Amino acid sequence: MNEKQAFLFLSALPALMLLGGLIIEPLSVSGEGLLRIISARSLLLNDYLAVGGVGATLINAGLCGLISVALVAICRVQVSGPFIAAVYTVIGFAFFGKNIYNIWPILAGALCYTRVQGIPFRNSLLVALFGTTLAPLVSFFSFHAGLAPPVGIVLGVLFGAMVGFVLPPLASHMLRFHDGYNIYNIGFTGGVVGSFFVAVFRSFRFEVAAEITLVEYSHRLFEICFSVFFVVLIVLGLYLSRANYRALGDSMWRVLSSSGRLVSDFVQIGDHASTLINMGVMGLVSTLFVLLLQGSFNGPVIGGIMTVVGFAAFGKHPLNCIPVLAGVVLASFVKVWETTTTVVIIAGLFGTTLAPISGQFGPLAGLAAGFFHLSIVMNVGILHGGINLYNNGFAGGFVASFLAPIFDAFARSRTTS
Amino acid sequence: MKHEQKKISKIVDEVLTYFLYHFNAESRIEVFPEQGRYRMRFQFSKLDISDQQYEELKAGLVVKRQPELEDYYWQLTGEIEESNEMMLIGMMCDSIELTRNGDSIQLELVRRT
Repeated sequence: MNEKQAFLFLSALPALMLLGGLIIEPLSVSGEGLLRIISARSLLLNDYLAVGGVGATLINAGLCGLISVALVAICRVQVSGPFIAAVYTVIGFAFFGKNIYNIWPILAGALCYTRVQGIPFRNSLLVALFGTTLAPLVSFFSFHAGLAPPVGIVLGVLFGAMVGFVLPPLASHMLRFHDGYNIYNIGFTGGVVGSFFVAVFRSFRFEVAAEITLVEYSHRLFEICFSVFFVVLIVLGLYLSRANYRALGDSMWRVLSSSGRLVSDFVQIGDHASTLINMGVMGLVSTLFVLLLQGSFNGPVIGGIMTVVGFAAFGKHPLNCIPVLAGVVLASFVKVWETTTTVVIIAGLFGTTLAPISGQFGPLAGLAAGFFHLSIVMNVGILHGGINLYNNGFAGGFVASFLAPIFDAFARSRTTS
Repeated sequence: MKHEQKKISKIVDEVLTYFLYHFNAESRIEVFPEQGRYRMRFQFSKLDISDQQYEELKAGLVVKRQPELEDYYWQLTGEIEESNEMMLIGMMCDSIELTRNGDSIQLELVRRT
């Protein structure tokens, strides 16, 4: 796959979503829905399917995705695993928290950082795209902080730009906290930054608190369309292999034997064919996971699936993810949370941020990581009040930094003995 | 470029750790600060490396420089003993020459600043 084809592939999903959104409902209905999405609280868990409807949500996801692809193209960045993950993550979270209004100040803040540092924007583009995890901060101050609209919008944009400005150096530094065992490193960084900002805001009587708004029913349309899309990814991967199945097997093996620890770019480790197949397989695994737990295909769940699929180009594969998923499910059986609830299901999907623990230390370690992750993720959200959309990445940072050194010590003592 | 010297020392750390951890190789390292670039030359000898291991090392190491990833991920280099960050090393270097001669490997990395 050459670069032009890679860009076409990256644009395909958001373009299809945009087209679907324009067709599925009258434009007047979608337009009103989009306005509701733009002015929504957007803090965790604000399902845009409930806020704006299917058409508007698809248009929002499509546009957010195309904006991301356009930035990748403008910056002349190679379509590698990390950027596939970033674009799919933006698309996924455009179902519950990111929208065509609130992502811009974060991107602008990162751009300012590169200008001050005298480096090209492309050097911080990845952090900027993932950094839209803090986009709800913009929405909250713009429309829900009890301020007059012009003041709120100015403050929202200003705070958004501020977090975008500080994220690049912090994100790089935070990697050392978990040594790359938490794939959603920006989630951890965003959690720290979000907690810092929210603590300051709360001391000025701004009450930032998470609030759950979800659609009550499952969208069969999404189940079917996404499943078809994942099968298409697999078929496309097989087509790209040009029927050289021995070479495909070798590259698949390289992908599957990777621990997934940062930086595991599957486009480099394998190739485009094996990466697409892995993305399709991980999409089907995630869909099956949701269906087996009888979960609803609502915004956050779709966001979780999209993120897993994106990161199947950058660290996640069935062998390192399934133990973590099993650990979360096992935890829900014995802990106080209902297995079929959206929060548990997304804790499983996003909990695969800990896949490198499984990949490095084995499936039992992955099972334990998933088991503990559920407890941690249910307790850290209060710190940032839902302003950090990658709450599982925040929790994953704590779990990884706690477990990895312990597993490492025992693995090492076994080796030395 | 910021943290340039630290990045060079981390590259050296990562490469040395890799060859010590996996092969316990005899190692000789030279670093040459030159006009607008750093050149690092590694000589590893008495290592028992299979053809497959060598090919895997080569595949991991010989990748295009990617400044869009380097600025973010460079702090991971040299952090873990079971180091597997050869790809990251490749992403941080402009030129990589890897040659094998029996039980010896010579690696020369050039990084423009």
